Formats: sequence, structure tokens, C-alpha cells
Amino acid sequence: MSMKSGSDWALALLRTLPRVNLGNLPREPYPKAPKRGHGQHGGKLHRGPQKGSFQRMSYPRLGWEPDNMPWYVRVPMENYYKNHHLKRQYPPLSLGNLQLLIDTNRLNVDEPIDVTAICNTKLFTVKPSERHYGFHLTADGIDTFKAKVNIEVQWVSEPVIAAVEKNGGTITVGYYDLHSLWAARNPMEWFRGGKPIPKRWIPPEDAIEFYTDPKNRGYLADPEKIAAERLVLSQKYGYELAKIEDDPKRDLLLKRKDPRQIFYDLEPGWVVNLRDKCILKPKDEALLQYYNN
Amino acid sequence: MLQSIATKAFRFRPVTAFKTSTKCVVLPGNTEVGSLVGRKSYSYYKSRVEETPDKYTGYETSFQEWKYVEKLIPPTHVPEPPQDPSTELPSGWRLPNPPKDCPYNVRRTKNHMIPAYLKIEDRGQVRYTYIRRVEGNIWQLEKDIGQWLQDNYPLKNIITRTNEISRCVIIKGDLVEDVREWLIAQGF
Repeated sequence: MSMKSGSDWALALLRTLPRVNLGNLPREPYPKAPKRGHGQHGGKLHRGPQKGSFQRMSYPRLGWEPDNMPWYVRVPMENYYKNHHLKRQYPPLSLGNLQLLIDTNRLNVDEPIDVTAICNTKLFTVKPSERHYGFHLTADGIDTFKAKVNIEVQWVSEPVIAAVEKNGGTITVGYYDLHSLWAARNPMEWFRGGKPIPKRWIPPEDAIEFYTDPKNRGYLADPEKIAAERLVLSQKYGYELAKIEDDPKRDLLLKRKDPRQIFYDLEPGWVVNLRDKCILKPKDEALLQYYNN
Repeated sequence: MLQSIATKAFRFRPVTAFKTSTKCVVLPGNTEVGSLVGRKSYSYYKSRVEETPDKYTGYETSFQEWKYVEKLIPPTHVPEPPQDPSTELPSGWRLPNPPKDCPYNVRRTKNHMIPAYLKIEDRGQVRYTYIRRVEGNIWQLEKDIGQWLQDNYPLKNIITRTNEISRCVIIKGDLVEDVREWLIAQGF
């Protein structure tokens, strides 16, 4: 190998030099800070300020949080009533009371019974301001219930469905949001204010399962599945299911509201004029699109 | 609508609004907030609520559906109950048919119900059964119903009293359902 230039000489020198490692590194150019000793080596302040608990080493105990109750002393919290003010309430209406209302001519069996008909008796009402979402038809008085009705309530249990269907009636469980329930509980007051009939909203996420279940006779369930569940329930409770198709009250018993409808035969978006006894229907495209969707 | 117009009128009220003349002050039309022509701005309550017709959408009037609205009108009076005393209703309600030779009478309420009530006192610790609207010999009723309850509940100490001023028979304990049953059976 012939050396031709200075760079070749320099590279040859590099090959012979030792490698860089921890042992042959030079010292740092600046001196180390003097170490503060413990005990006999000095440092009587114990690495702390010249006062207080840190100088005297009276440290707070482990787990101490200033201004807070220690976590091991705190009373455990059980959120039993957490969000109770947000939950849906369904005031009860028993089957015995429903029978009494029918017997004393408060409710007309020849018309479908819904939340408006029950509130119009002025004996039972719902308060949307207290988050009442409608009536819960309870089983109290189930043995003496004999009426044949087409009823729509907002919450129901299985024996009550069986009691209504055993007498040849039908039951629907429908959801009303609070805004439409204000109109449904007192329609005359709503019409007097000149407000259009609102449209019903679909149930919230945690309730949509209940209202689409044919076992609960939900208003969003498939009617064919409901018919199948009627037969299943009659066999479970051991009664003969009445044939609605052959019933003289067939039209009454099969009358249902649209999921967007609050009152029977009245559509959302209409304004009721109580003075002239007429109904004002909107013609605007935007309004029609809103109320029909 | 009324509220929104009110805020608009307040916000764009000109200096002329404070004039005390009785003449109608015509405001200049503001293209941004809508026409306020003809509004008496110095008197809000006398001002027009409506805007010009071109601000509203069209509608059609229908008289066909009024019959469905009539079904939603609540009754103004308490409905008449069934008038035949022989009919047995599933709920147990019966038309009052009091006995002729009875020295007392218990009248129904305006809702055709038995006037027997439960009164809870002392934060739920004491319960009384009240029979109101008693006419005639109130002490005889107290004696009769006390005897019947004592026969039904032999282990219970039935305590009764009367208030002849307010025409009440008061029984200690929650016995409303028994009292109702007895009064209906007697024909009251």
C-alpha cells in the first residue's frame, strides 16, 4: 500500500489509535458541586429549608393529602340515588281503578283509551314537569277486571297484558316524549295557545328496546310478531284468545296511532282554531317535510 | 313569535319613540329585521303583534276534522253513573239504595263514591279511618260499625269515636277497605 496523500497518513494513524471508551475519556472541565453530608459529614438541615417539618424530619404520614380527608378514612360513597332526577317516572294506574272509571262512565269503552282520555277524567293526571312519561298500568285489581278495551299506556307488565287480552281487548305500549305529553295531557289548553300539534319523538336509546319488543306490545314492534306473542301469552296463562278478526268491534280494537301521532285522527303540524271550530293545515314544504318525517 | 318581535322592537327603537305626541309614529323599515311599518313604538302593548302577511307561510282551513277535536274536550260535569241499582258491576260499585228504617245515613260524594278516607298522622305512625257525611243518629253508626269490625277482627282492639260537629265517625287503624265494603253492603 503506497501512501499518496496526507489524508491516507491520517487514516492509517487512526487505525492504530485506541478506541473511545469510558476509561480514556477526559475529566469534565468544571469541578463537581460539593456534596452536602449527612450526620457527621455535615448538612445539619437534612437537605431541607432551615425551618419547619423538613428540617426536623417530622414529615407528614404516608397517604397524607393536605386539605383532603385521607382516602382510607373517607366514607365510601354509594350512588344509590345517582341521576334519579333524570330517570323516567311512570305514575301508576291500577286495573281496579281503570275498571271503576269504566263502571262509573268516566271512560268510554267505545273509544280507544289513551293518556288523553285518562287525563280528561280529571281524576288521574301526569306531570311532565316532574318527569312523568305517562301511565304505568299495574296489576292491582286484576281479578275483577272484566272490561274489553283498546288501551294505550306507557308502561306495563306481562300479567296485565294477559288480563286485557283475556277479555278480548288489545293493549299498546307507546312512548311520549315530555313535549308531546304536555299537549296530550291537556289538549284544550294546548289548542287555546295557538300552538301546532307537535310530533312524537322516537324513544331514547335506553327505552327503544322496550318499545320495540312484541312481548311488551310495543308500538314500534312488528304487528305480525305481536299477533304471534298474543297466542304465546294465551297459552302460557291458559285462556282462549279471542279472534279480533271476527269481532263486531274490530275497527275499534285495531285502531292504532301513527308513531308520530299524539291524538287519534289528528296529524302533527295542524293548528286547531277553537273559536271558528276549524283546523288550519300547513302548506309550506319545509313544514310538511318536518312533520311528516 | 310575539316575544321575538318584542325584542326586535326594543333593540331598534329610535329616538323618536320617546315623543309624547299621540300621533302614530311610523318607523323606517329595517330590511334586516323585517318590516316594522305601522308599529306604535312608544306604546308596546298597543302595538301590532302581527307582521305583514308575506312573512307567513300559507295554510288551508278544514272543517272536516273538527269532530275528532270534540272527542278531546273533557266533560264539564261529573258523568252520571249507571242508574239501575240491580246491575252488579265488576268493580263493586253500586248505586246507593239506603234502607228506609235506618236511623242514620251516609251520603255519597259528588263523585258518587263512599266518603271513607284514610288519615295518616304523626309522620305515619298513627292511622285513622274517617267516615264523613254522616246524617242522623251518628252514635248508632259508630256502635254498629264498631261491633261489625270487632267481630271481624277479634284480636284487635277497635277504638271508635265520633265528631258530631263535623259529622265524622273516626276509627283507629287503617280499615278503609272494610268500612267501604260494609257501607256498600248496607246500601249507602
